[in-house]
Amino acid sequence: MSVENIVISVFAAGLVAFSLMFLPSLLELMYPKDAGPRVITGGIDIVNLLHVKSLEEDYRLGRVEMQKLSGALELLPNLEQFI
Amino acid sequence: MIEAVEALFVLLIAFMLAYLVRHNIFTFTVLRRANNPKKTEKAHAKSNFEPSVTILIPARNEENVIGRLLQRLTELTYPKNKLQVIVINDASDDQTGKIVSDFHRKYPYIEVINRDKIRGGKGKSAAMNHGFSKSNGEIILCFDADYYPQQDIVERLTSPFVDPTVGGVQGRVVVLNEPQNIITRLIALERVGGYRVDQEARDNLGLIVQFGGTVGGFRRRVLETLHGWDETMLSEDTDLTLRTYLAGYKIKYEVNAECYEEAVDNWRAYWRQRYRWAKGHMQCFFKHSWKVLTTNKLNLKQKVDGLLLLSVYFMPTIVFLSFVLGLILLMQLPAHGFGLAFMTLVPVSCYSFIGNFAPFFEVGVGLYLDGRKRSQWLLPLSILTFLFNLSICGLALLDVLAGKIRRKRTHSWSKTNHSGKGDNYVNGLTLKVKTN
Repeated sequence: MSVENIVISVFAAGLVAFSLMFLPSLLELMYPKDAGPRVITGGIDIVNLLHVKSLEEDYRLGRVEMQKLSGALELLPNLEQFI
Repeated sequence: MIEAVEALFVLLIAFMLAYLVRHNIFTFTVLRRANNPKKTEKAHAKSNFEPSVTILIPARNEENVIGRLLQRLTELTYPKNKLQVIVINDASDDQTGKIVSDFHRKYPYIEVINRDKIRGGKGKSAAMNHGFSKSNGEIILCFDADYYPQQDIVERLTSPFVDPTVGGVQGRVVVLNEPQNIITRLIALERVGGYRVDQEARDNLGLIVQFGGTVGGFRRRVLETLHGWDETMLSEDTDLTLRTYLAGYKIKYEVNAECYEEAVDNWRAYWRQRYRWAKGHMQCFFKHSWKVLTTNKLNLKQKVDGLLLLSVYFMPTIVFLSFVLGLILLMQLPAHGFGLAFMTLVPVSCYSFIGNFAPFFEVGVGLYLDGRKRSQWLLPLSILTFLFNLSICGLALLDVLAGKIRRKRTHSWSKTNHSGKGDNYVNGLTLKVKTN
């Protein structure tokens, strides 16, 4: 492998690694679960619409996961047959 | 020639290392003490200390937010017979004066000083001095018009004044409109680093706690000794901080005295605000650094911290300069051999470490202590604000140096416009203010 190729490979790998660093940030920006505002003490009633939205999202995702799981369970052998 | 570059380079690296050590000391100090509740919190619970308090609110064209703050001040738990609220309506063109007058009719302890266009409009410090001259409280607290405090904030902010050596106090600022967009979220991270870790550590270590110009205040006697706010300074808060310490008093930080702020929500406003801060801080550096070095009112660690605090807005320029010098030295590598190669590696590592990781670590720990683990995912984006600050601080430095050459001084407001969008995050607030 030539020196030029090594340099290009290292540069490309660095670029990919650098981009991957931002992946969690993008996820939190696109699907915020901790967008605040941080509730301070002293009886302030905070409206956290984003939090409510993310809870709904969690519920929706949970339902999808359950459907997948139940689909997978159907493939398993029916234990009642062996009793 | 190359030797001179090397010498400058070593100097800059030493400066950067000092900040690296400082950031990490702050972070580890706060982490170590995280499980020990502050003594002041217990003292606050037991204390019957209730001095008379004046709250000063400078306001220039704040019709979008002033009602929200005044409404909140009527809900404070502090005894109203010991409370005076003075709004300094500084030549506003909008409905600010009318809104405050409406509150005054209903709540007599809320007063308004209307400054006309001839006397007023000369900046926040001038407005504060005018308000101070009409105040009668033993303790003078300051709030910006866009802030929204917790109900018992006055009790929390006044409790440190039981100690006669305390000249000032600073509370914690929390971003109200954090969910609004990426800018407000990044500012919230900065605030966590600054207030949950930086200020807290400075207080714990007996260093220079910085008065932030709002959510804090001073003992009347101290302000009288210092002759109030310096109207020639852009960062009147940093200036007042240094003058308080140089007069032999200290400022306490109350992490549990919390107040919401409406953070700027676009890059243009962010630029304007930070440019003003950077320029003001640099002015303070030129005004106070020699006094900090030579005074007998500060101990050695306070002197070091004071100088680092005053120099903090030079850091992005220093980081950039050392990076450029590192590149120049790297290009000279074949001619100079291993010694120089080692020297060129140092800035690269330090640049990464100080420019990115040390403050990031600070913010990350602050978020952890606040129980906001998912927000830590945003930390890599702080590089955006770092790069932005690189340009802001560089230009501010040129501006300050040019101003020094021209000897030009201006006294006027350089304020952030507030949209009042923070209302969206406080339940039922808009309705409450409108019914008044």
